[in-house]
Amino acid sequence: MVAKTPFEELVTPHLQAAFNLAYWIVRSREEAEDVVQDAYMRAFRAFSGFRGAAAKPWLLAIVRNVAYRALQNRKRTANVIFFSEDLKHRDQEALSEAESEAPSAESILVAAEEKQRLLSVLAALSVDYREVIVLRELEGLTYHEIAEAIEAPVGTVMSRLSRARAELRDRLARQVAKDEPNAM
Amino acid sequence: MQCREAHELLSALLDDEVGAEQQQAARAHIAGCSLCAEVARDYRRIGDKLRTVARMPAPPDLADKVLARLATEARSASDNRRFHWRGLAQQAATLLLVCGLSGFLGWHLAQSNFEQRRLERDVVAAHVRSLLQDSTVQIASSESHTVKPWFNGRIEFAPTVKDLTAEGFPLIGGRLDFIDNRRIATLVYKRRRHVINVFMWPADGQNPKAPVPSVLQGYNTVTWTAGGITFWAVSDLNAKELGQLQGLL
Repeated sequence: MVAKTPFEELVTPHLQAAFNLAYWIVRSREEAEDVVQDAYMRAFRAFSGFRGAAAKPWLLAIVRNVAYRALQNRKRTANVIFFSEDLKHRDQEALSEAESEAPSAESILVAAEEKQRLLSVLAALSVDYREVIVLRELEGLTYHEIAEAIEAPVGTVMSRLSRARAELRDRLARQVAKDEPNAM
Repeated sequence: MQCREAHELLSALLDDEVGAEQQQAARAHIAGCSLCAEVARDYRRIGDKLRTVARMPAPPDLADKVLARLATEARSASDNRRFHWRGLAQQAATLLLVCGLSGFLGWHLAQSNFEQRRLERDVVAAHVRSLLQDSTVQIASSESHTVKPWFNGRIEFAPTVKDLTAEGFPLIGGRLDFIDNRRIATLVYKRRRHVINVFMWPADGQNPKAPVPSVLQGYNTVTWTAGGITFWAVSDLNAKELGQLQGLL
């Protein structure tokens, strides 16, 4: 194997994070793959201008921009009449895809029903809430890094994350009440 | 600390992103408030669960795909760099030559033509804009003796105002416009249901210029210079009748 270039060394370790973020923005594995590939090409071309301290938020900012563009393209090409149906369908697709993942030792411990509930509630959040939840809870970025990735002030990150968590908790509680009316 | 205040800090507290002072106050509140404590517990529980179930694993071949595309990209980038110099130099030389030649030949023509097109764009835009407004005029009157004095002190020249009702071009009124970085007079005439804007401003020279008709964005225009004033008439009226109006002014 050829020696890795500085770009590969800095950026390839974050492939998993890039895919995860792309997936949770576009909510489709196929599109997320395209987004990641495009984002890496863009990052490669822009790499000479990269002077930042941390490669991860820098890369995730690019992934996020490409993913948002993919979302916009989808909206533009979607048939207006069937658009909402299409979204519903996509959510379903996302869920079944998520479920078909090979279970890890930990996830077996979580009841399948509960897992699906959590995934569908996260998928139903608005995209600006969803992305901060993903960046914080799944990727463990600091507020400062999230601010860099979503190109917003730290104060915005703090308040948005707070609202996103409240919303997520509310929706989960409502969903639980709906699924198990007798449990309360 | 109040519940509401603590509530806003809960999320940042979990992430260890709160200053020491606030942290102490928030922790003290949560210790004594079962409601906030429950919310904090829920947030932590949801976060833990998300970490176990919501991470989407990348397809195993994605890394190879990305690296393969990167390799192609890197190769073509270095190819481009090597190739470019000779090709680029040749292209630049040719381009310079062509630019210089056509520049010398066309400069005068282009200059005046370009100027003309720019003004035409401006007056057509002003015409369309006037149609978007509630009223095309600031002074509404078919009396030339009312309209003409209205411009006194508003612009630096006396516009040509004629009431052409008898000829089938009733005067609707006038307004000010801003074209080519100066205030100008605009008179509005009508022909049946067609609105005609006649823009006028002092000409650069005293020489009269014969009318030049043209079409832009479906609007007929005609420009001419007479009596030291440059006129532009714009309308969706047909070119022949617009020419008639030109003759009457």
